[in-house]
Amino acid sequence: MNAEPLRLAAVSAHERILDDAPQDLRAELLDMTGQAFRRINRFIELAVYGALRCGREAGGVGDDTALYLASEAPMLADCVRALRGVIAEARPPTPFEFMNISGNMAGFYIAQHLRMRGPQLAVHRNSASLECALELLQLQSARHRRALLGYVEEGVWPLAEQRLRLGLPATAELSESSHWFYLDADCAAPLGLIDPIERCSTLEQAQRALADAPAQWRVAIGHRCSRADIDALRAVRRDAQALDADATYSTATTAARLIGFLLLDSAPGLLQVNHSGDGGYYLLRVRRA
Amino acid sequence: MSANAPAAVYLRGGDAVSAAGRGRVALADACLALSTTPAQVRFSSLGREIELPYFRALDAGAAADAVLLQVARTALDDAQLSAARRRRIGLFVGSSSGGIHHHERAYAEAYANNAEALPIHRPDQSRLATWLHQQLHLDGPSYTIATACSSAANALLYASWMLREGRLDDALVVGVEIENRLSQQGFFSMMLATRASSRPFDLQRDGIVLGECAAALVLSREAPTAQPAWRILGGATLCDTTHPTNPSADQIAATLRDALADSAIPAARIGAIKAHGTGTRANDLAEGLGMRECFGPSLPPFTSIKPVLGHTLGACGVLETLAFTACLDRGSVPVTRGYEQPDPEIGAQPLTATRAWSGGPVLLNYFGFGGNNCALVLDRER
Repeated sequence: MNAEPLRLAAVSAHERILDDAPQDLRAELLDMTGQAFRRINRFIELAVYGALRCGREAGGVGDDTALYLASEAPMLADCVRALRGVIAEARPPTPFEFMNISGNMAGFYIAQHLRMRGPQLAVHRNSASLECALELLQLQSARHRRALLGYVEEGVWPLAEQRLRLGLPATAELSESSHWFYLDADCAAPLGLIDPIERCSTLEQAQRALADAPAQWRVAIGHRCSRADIDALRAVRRDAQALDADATYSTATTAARLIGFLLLDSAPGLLQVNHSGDGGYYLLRVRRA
Repeated sequence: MSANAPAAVYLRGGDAVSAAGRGRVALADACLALSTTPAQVRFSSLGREIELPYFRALDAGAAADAVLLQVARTALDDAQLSAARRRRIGLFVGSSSGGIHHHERAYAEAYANNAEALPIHRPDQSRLATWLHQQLHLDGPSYTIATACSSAANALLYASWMLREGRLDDALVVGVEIENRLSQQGFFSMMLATRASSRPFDLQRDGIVLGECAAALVLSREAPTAQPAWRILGGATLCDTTHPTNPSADQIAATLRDALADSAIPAARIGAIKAHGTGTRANDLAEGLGMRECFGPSLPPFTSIKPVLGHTLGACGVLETLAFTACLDRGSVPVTRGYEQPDPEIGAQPLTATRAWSGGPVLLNYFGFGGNNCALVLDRER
């Protein structure tokens, strides 16, 4: 196993609370690239927009760069539209509707635009998908010294329907986002270092890790942890930050927290514990270089 | 092998339910005797009634989840792991459509009762992995890989790298694709589905025939106790940005070369190739040219088994690895069903008769929409 920490060279964050109409991302993409992006869905637009911004922050990416895209519920709007077409309207999906719901199509457009030819993997998971993508990325980091890693959450309209779909109250605020990280093993002045992702089988192991984190470090609890997990983890570190129950609904909290720590925090390190969704806990450690 | 040769990763157990029936024996029988027959599925498109062949694996009314669980359990039993190792095994699921069949059935039922019903409740593309993890009482990590038709192949590759790097001792890799209208109609819309039969690499080829399956392979750092001992020597996965659905010969060649390099195997040692061989114009042309570019005039014998099993999309990585190794264990590389006329543009022909196989590393190709090319190199130790 390559136990070297990953060197974070650049990041970008796009996050928006949703209102009745989607933001015109195609216009933003046209501004950025001078190229009209057509026949792509909202998820792909968000992914491309975020990745291109991160690529710019990095001053360009190498053609050997690997691409890992994590998400909890990708391509949802097109899947909904296509299912409605097939079942309710007896209409087959259009070619682009169908093509664009392929899991890694967003990665294709990013790789095409940034001229990347490394591995391109979509990691879809209901819990801790960013941590999982990091884990898989680390496996290949010795071979592909540069990687773009993204977490994308797509807005799905109409919002009232989406709230019902997610089982949220009618007043819940929804968001969409595109968070990206450029990792470069040769970066001389990284924003931070990500230690190899660790997975604990039990809550006790996660508690021990939290208790052992240096006192000056920021400690946090991921949004997939239950109320009982939060109480148990706070029993060993009272300063562990957890998501406010009234906050805007978002699955991108790990990505947002990581970028917030890198750009806005002065603590020497961050440790986040998140439930893995399969009985374990993921530990994400980031340190200042 | 060099002194820096990576740790061995063995295929230690496996099972599948496919159009061929249940298990490795049925897979080898079907691929060597070309004995499967597709069903016909019907739907309306723009006022026309469409009928397409489809390779069904499940009996009408069979619960897909229960079949998948049986397959995974049988693969684990076949691997004969200790209880402790079985519990901490890593789970990798590769699927193109994920759990869309669940959403489709649920929505069809709900819509029949209420025209205002919503499609897709509680979206979760890792639902199958989470469910299997719970049902099998696993403690290890689980991953859901989504790279279209190369999903399960990438799941095999990443699982093998995890074992090679010592992150895991064992991995259960599952490929699953259950019949759903969205996939059938989607490929029809893209004009990639044939109404006749799939004829990979043939001059008259005109598309794919889809199929369904549940397949599982157990990878282990320890050799199986029973003969034979197949190893995954390595592989590669690269992004091809030429076109979202049509791969390029150059990038396929690059992927094959990377897979050989990762496996420390020179091209000249490859004894046979299981091509992706979908039967579409674009895939087979790019794959044929890519293989020629990688191997030059010494292109090893190659074949496609999709005309027998159907194109099982994101699951084909596991199903076809299981099927191909089962055929080789019988001493034969299977013929490519339906191939008759050479395509001069491709300039290479798949096997037109079953070929005896006497050992040596083999290459297995898997490609997916979104430019995802994956290749695996396997060898039999005994």
